Amino acid sequence: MATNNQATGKPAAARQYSFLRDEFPMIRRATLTFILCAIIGTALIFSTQYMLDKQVEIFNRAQALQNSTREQYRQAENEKREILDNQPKYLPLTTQHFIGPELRLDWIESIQAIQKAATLQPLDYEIAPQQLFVVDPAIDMAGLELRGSKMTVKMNLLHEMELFRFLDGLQARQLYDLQSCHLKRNENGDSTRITPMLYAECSLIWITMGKAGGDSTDAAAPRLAAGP
Amino acid sequence: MWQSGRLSDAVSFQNDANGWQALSVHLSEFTQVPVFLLMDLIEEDFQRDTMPHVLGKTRKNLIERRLLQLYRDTPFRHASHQGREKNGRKDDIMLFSGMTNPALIAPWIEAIQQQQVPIAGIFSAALFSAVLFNQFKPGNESILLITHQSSGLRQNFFHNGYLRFSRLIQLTSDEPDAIADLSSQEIAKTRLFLANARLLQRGQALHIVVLDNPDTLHAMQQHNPESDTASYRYIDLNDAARQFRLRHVPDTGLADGLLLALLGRTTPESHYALQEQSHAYLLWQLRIILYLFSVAALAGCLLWSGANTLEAIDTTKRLGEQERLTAVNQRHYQEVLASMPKTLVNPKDMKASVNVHNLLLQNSSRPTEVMNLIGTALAHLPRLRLDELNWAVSDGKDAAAQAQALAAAQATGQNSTTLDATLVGLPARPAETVTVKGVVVPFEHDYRSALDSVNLLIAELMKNKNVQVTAVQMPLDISPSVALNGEAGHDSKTLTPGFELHIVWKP
Repeated sequence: MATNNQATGKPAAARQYSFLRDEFPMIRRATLTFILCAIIGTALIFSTQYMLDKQVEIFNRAQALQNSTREQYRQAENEKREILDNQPKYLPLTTQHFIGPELRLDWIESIQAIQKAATLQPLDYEIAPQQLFVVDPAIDMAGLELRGSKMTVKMNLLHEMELFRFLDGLQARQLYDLQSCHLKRNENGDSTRITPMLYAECSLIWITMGKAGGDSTDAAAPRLAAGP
Repeated sequence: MWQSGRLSDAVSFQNDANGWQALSVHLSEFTQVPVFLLMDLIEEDFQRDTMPHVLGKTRKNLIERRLLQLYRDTPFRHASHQGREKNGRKDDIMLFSGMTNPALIAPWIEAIQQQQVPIAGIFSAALFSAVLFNQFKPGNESILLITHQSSGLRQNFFHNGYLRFSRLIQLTSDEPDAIADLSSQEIAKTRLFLANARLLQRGQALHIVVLDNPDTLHAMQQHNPESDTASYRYIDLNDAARQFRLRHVPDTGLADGLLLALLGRTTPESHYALQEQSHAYLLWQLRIILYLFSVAALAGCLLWSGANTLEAIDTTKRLGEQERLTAVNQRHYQEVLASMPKTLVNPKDMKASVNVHNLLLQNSSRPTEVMNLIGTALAHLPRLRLDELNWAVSDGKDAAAQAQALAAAQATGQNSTTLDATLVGLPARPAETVTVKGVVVPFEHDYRSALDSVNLLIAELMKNKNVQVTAVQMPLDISPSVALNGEAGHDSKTLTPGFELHIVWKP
């Protein structure tokens, strides 16, 4: 600011120019108003934002709890449906001894019974030690494992249908899967007499399921109680 | 006072110490209202000149220097640009003006500054007349615009749209006839001056626009007849106010009110602003801006806070809904638990058992299907007799892969502990292979017929798309790459040419 008043030409006061003293008073009220408004506004925003954040936090917790209870309810529903669907199918599996330990004595008795009932030629069999199946991970095994015991059967046949009758008889008693069959015409066979015309050697796997890591020789299958 | 687009009635002050003091007292009630000073003085000089066309700080310095040369004794100096010369170096054409007697203005400014009232600008009535000229659009020829103010009759001469000079004629009487008579005389003097100054050619028409009250305009029409060298256009002050769309202008019969109202509405850049006066006005503007910012900041914060509050209220409502849903889910869960069938087995184990059992049944290998295929094919070929049949489940690997897998299994010891579930149909039913061995009977040394019979068997089997047949051994190998041994003339009953086929069936 000039020290002389150009318009009036009069000498100005000798004191030094000071913005705070000379000019700030003109905008002091406006400046204070602005600062006050800014403080009030900021305080309003912060307080309402704090309130909103707290409310959102409570809401998120409530939503998470709601999702959790809904999932719990859905799982319980699914579990109930699965029990209702699968229990009637599961119970026969236990009685058929697909679930539980191997019952080799039953197998031997079954073979003897079929051989006798179908009046088959004498036969030889050999059951190998039980082994675990390596199952594709895509198949849900839950907490169970699949076990198998290879059995080789050697027998003479009057005709090929005797073999199928024997295999069908086994299937009715216990689940197995046929792996191979070698049928050969007997060299000394004579079609004019009742002598075995064929020789068969088959390999099959007896299949059972049980708890993973459980004792496969356990004689007791899981007991079920149907109904509520 | 200019307020809300209206100009209040005028307040007059004498040009003496009492008048200055009265103005100061009057302004003490409006210390926050900026003042516009409109000067209508005889002591205002106009000089039209050219200067080199330069820009920026150089231009500013050049103008300052020229103004200082022309008006050394007054701080009220102004320069306005009026285009450029068409020829030569195309210099800028400038109109320099100055209030030659600052002592006339200074007491008024001092009276205003006593109250610390911001001065928005000091304006010249002559320079401001350009606003009237632009509104009336009288043309680009030589125009003489005459306005009647309280200080007298002001003649503003415009040429090519730019103000060239201005003069104020003091009135001796307020009577319309006297004013008209004086006006007529002064127009003649001005015409003579313009001709002498070569601003107007002799005989050239001068268009005269007069802005005044109706009575004076009527008197002027009587005193100033139209001629070849003078044409008149009379504009009533009230009509002018309407043209400018000014709602309220004090009806004093003078152009002062119109000019002040236009000044209040248009607020042009100050003509004669001094630095200290501009600074005060700047502070006033800053003050207004601070208030506006305060309002805007507070309004913005209130809006933001309002939005936060509304969202919080909405969240609270939605929270109630979530809690209600949670309670419903928990109640349903308890109901399901209460009605859950009792079982000692894990439902997942149960489901897995059933699924695996179903898959095993669905994908179990059944030799009867492929054997039926072979039996059907052989039924049409009685000369072919099967002696041996070897059926097996295939894991889908070729011989090399099987050998590699076997070696790997032996190396890891898996052979004794694990079985491959693909062999029992998990996850898909495996392929089956059948190797059949047989003989052609009766042969009768007919190799061609024997070969045909075996080929027919292969063709019959291959009709099924799922069957692939490879001949391992034919009754006679007739390929050119191998040695061929045969016999002829022996007993045909001892000759039994055999064949062997490898069949792959993919159900």
